[in-house]
Amino acid sequence: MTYPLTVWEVDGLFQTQTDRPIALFYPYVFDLSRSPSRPLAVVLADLIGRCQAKSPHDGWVWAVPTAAEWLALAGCQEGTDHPWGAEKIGPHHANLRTGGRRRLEPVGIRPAGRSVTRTWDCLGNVHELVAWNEDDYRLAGGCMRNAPSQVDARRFRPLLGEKLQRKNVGIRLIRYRVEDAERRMAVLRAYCASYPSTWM
Amino acid sequence: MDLPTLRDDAELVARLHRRLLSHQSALPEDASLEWRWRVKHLLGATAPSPGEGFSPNLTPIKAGPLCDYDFGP
Repeated sequence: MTYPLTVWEVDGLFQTQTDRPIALFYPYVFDLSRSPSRPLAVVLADLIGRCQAKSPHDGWVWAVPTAAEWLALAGCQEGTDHPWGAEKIGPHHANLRTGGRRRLEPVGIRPAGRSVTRTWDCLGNVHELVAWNEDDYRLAGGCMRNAPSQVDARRFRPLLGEKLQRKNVGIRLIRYRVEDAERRMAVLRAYCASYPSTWM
Repeated sequence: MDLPTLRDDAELVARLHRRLLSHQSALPEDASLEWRWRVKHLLGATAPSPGEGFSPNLTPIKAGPLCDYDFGP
């Protein structure tokens, strides 16, 4: 997805209708506190199944991006600091904590923050769930509560259990070719093995 | 809801760009839904069309060198 999944899209997938039309363009935010009764993996499987049913494409399947795939979308796989390049983070790039109120904003309104792959909103606004291994997830990208100095596109934060009340985690899904299933997991394992231990 | 894009409205384009690029916070809460659609169209964003809800296009990217296979964002 070029943008993080929006409330509008989730309404389309689940046949629901938000009572706040103004929220349609905002990123969909997971209620992680429900996880004990409905594990995140089950929630994601449901979401992916609905994407598959709603938007099938021969030979391709929907998935939570791996950390390696997310990094590729953000254009930061070769050590680039930010999705847009080396320019220092400014307010026109991303919705981060730079003073004033911290609140969500609609997706896709900061074109200067696009990555070289034309992917929007990789940094700021909401963290994004990425697959860290076959049954573990991490957070990518930073959110509106992070100061620019706290954000690094190459760093993936653990999904800590004690912070499940957080309302700042969204997602963008990707599609991959069925025949690449094993390859993408192998790439992810290699990436995780090379991930700096000081960032764990 | 059939909203025209406003690419030809130079003054509005300039005003919205100034606002978006200089304003660090979100679009104002009181901005109308139509206004938000117009902003998105102005900026070339491919927001889902009203009524569609979920209809992404698949555009595979060459994701190397980290990922040596294509995938679609």
